[in-house]
Amino acid sequence: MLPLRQKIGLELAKPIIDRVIREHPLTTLFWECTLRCNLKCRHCGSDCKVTSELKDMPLEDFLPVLESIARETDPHKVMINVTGGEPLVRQDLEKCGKAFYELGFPWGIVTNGRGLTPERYKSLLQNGLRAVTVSLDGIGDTHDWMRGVPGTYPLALKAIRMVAASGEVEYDVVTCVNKRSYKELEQIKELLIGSGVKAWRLFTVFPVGRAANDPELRLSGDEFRGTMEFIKCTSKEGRISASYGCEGFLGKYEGDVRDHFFLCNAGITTGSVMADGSIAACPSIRADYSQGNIYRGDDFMDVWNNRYQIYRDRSWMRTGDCARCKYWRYCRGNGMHLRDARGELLFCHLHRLQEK
Amino acid sequence: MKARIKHIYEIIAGAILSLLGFNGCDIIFPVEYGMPYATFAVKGTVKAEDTGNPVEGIKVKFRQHVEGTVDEHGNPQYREIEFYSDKDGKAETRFTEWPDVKDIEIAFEDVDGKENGGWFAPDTLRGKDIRIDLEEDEKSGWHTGTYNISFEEKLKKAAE
Repeated sequence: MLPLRQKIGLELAKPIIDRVIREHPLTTLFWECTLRCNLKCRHCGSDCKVTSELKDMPLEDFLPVLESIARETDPHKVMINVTGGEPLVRQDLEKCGKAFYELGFPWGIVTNGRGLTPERYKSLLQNGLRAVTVSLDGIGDTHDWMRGVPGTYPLALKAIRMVAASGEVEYDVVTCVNKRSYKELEQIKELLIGSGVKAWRLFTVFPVGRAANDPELRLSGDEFRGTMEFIKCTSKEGRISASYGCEGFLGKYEGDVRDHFFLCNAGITTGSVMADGSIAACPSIRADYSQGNIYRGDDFMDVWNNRYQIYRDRSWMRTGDCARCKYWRYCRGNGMHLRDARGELLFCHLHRLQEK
Repeated sequence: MKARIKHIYEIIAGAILSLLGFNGCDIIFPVEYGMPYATFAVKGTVKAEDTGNPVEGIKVKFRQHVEGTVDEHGNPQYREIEFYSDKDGKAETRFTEWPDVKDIEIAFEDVDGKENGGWFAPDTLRGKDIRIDLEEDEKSGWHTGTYNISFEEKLKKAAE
């Protein structure tokens, strides 16, 4: 049962969210610039390797995507999130960033921080870098266990402290909460506050990629509720802005553990260009749901304007438990990345909140 | 009319959500991956210094340096927006950009030679010659507001 406050809030927001879905303005574009990575994360949803058989997408292949977007929208309102793999393994990242900047697009990176030296950071800033997300998945060995390479914790922490101290970009820290890091949440919080961090995003693992068969990564119902309570209390304290990642309708926690009510933005405000040229919605969504491919001659904005119907009308998801769920009108079938190849829902956050 | 009703609804809904302890309008529009940006409304007049008459057809270049960015030679990089003065000497433009006004300049260039009142020398305004007012009424989410940037340029005649 939803508390009255949440119910009023969700009902008031619903017509506005429905309008955003109808208008589907592109505001975020992920570019999976490489599949190469310098870590071996347990939870990784990408098919990353230190050396990938799939070559990095050349900048000149990606630029027509941005030119297509710039012809129809204000580029300053579309954020390019460079992701991977690990974007910092690309030696031409500065050149790429410069080209984005010159076309008028703000851009940022999602990084494990291992390669973010002061010299590299300065060089990226000089080429228009405006946002950084760094991952920190626990204290000391917990982080290294999650990231699969010993000695990465101090490097991530150093990168976080450097970015926080510089004050030159928008940044946040993301933490994947698992059975080990769950016990360290208070410690991580104090560490981040002490490091000058202002924004912290926590997420939990969904059962895809390497995480599919790893029970240590999955929280119990109690632990999941505990995470929500932790975020809620941390936000109330006001010492650091803590929020839960973008996935899942969270019932009584809606609006209290995130700055916004739940909406899976994939294909609504978020698009992606993957390393193999696929035009997708969000990088976490399986390839079955791609909408085109730049290497097959598809124009990005043409695809954005004329395809993506499965993202904008999600009534096809209303099967199984979703068909009987009274919160469908607010949840709309959870995140698209939680749908398998047949369209079945792999994980329901609301169920997990109700489990023991 | 429909758009106006929607707009009013969104303002009222945002106010009620704030009263309920939610994050106002931001609760509706996820800003997780947003970027700060500002609207720049640049407006001014171009006149001849000697006669005070408006000068038409002057190319006005608004130049902004975003802190930290450099060109391929390591020099500060400037983004340029071009527009022209009309028959009343008025020149204006509106665009969105990274909210940084610490280093801006407005340059003027006579590109039509002796037409429109004669040949004028190029000039550049900086610092206190440019008025900057930040209007925060439209501030929401990552939008930091509108910079109203105004100028009054008096061009000198070019040497023959």
